[in-house]
Amino acid sequence: MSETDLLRALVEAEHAAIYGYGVLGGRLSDPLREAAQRADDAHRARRDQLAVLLQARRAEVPPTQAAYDVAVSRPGAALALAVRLEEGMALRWRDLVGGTDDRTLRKLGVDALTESAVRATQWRRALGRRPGTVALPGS
Amino acid sequence: MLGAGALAAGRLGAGRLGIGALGIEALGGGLSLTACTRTDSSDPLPPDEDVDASVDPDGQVRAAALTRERALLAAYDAALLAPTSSAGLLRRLRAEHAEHLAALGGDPAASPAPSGSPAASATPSPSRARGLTALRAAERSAARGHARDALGASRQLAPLLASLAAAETSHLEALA
Repeated sequence: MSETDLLRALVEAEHAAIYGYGVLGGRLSDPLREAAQRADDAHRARRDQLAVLLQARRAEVPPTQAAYDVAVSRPGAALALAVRLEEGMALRWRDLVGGTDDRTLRKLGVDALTESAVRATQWRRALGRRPGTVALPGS
Repeated sequence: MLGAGALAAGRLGAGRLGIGALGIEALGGGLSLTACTRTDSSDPLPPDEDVDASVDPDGQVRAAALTRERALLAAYDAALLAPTSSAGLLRRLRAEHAEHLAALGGDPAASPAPSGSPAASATPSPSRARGLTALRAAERSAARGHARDALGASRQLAPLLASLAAAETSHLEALA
């Protein structure tokens, strides 16, 4: 997969994560709702950062879809979805690290993978899992 | 922290839920959880940890990562020698570092888990706080090293180092 393809896949995944957080945040109460809002903000920032990288390469930025089929009825399901969203992002960020020799993109991938792994840990702990970590995030 | 509903739903925590189970199949191409370029950075490696740079272009980087993981294992072992109410947590985090060592091609048998557990004390002691502080510092330091080395490593090793940096940073949440 080319670097451009990896970046495009990341934008598409960030679109879905942003949509997912918008839905799941509404099923949570503070302080978890606030945590979901912060995660949403972080994913928007990453999506915008990726869009700038694609534009610099004169590559098309994938648009967001009108809607994603997300159904979350209970807080527990909302938290579980948040875990899955972050695990999905971690996979793609790890792919970027292994798909480029560009140190700037590598650093972006390492930083974003780490942030997703930390958020996944926080959501797992909110679900009562201890310690809530995994040995190899993104793999 | 969680409301009663969330606690009841905490049962969901058992097992890893698939996206499909949540009714969001149409997250579409965007969130297919199968990565398209799986670089297997856990290729079989010789059990010998004396990595030969002429064979392994990542020899020095891999050796440095192994050194960091061994230092973390030693730090956890030291923390587990003192009576601590966190022994269960520390053993689980230590086990993840043993996995890291193995993923890097290290020999887990060279760093055996401490046999038997010291008597656990239900009362947090000053040494417990010191122990956790030291472990957090060790995790932070290892995370920085892994993250730095991921930038220049081969495409085969870099993803593993990235995962290790992410794992050590995640451990800070559990040690908070």
